[in-house]
Amino acid sequence: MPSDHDALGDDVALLVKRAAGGDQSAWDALVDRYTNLLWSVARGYRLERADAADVVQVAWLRLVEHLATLRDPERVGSWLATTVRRECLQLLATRKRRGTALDDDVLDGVPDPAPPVDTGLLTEERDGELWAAFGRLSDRCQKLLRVLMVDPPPAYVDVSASLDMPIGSIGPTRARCLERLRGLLAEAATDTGGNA
Amino acid sequence: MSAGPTEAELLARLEREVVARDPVPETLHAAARDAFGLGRLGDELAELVADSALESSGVRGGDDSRLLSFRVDDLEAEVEVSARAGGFDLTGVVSGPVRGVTVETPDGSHEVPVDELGRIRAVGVVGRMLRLALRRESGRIATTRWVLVG
Repeated sequence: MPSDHDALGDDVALLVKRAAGGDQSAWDALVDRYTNLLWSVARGYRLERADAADVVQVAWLRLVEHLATLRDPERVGSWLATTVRRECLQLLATRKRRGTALDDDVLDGVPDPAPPVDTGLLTEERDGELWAAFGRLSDRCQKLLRVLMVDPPPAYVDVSASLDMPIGSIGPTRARCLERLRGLLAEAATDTGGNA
Repeated sequence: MSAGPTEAELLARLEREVVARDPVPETLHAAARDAFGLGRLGDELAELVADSALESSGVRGGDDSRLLSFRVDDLEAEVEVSARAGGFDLTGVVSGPVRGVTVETPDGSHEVPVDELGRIRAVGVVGRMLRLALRRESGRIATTRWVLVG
């Protein structure tokens, strides 16, 4: 679950302050805290892996420039997430204009190849179905669930910035998305004989 | 048929799936750490004042190129960046008391000659992101924000 923001915010503001003063270890702590979140945001927009990595790196490069002038240092995670989100939208618009195909291999909902019938590894079989069901969720659900699963868990305020979603909508949307995911899994189980 | 997984079980399984199928690239954390070394505290920051990638900016680039304008005080740089395999070409013009221009990427920097009309040109620069460092006649440097070449 997303963590309590107030306590975290104080820690983060201190890290920003130390990094602005030239402390690489404080910077590294920020990197450890937010890079996985930023990756999830970029991949939630279905950027291919190389593009997602570039977008995340650019956000960090920008932050270096703004460390000393951030208005709300305790909200640096939101600043980074917003930067990534905007860069994603911009890159997608550029790609669309050029007609460059996107790499939709990860989240396009195409089921993985059927597992071998004689493996007996029910868990793997089940999780292939889970992945396929996840791919059938709406964009909004996929984005939200990806961000909520990030390690370390993001603060709600950062989740909100990551998805441009009001904080009050996060909980109800999460519940709806999980319910939908459960429904899709149940449908898949029915289709395959009800033993998944 | 069973009652199905609980919310927590479902999320835990999904998390395992995402980690296995779409792991964060190992190099990403290292690149993010290295970004710190590219900070230039004390330089002026030239703001991006127009960008053809933003529809609202009123500037239009070609399908394969992006027009960018940067400004800080009396310095201005207008450049066209064209993506190519593994890198980009850049042409443009700088105005104001500029003595030299460097095109920087996270992996290195390239001094670019400035002709008498302020024109600059760099061909086949390797990398996907860039910034410009404009060296004033006074020696002071103004850097632009980082831009991802689409």
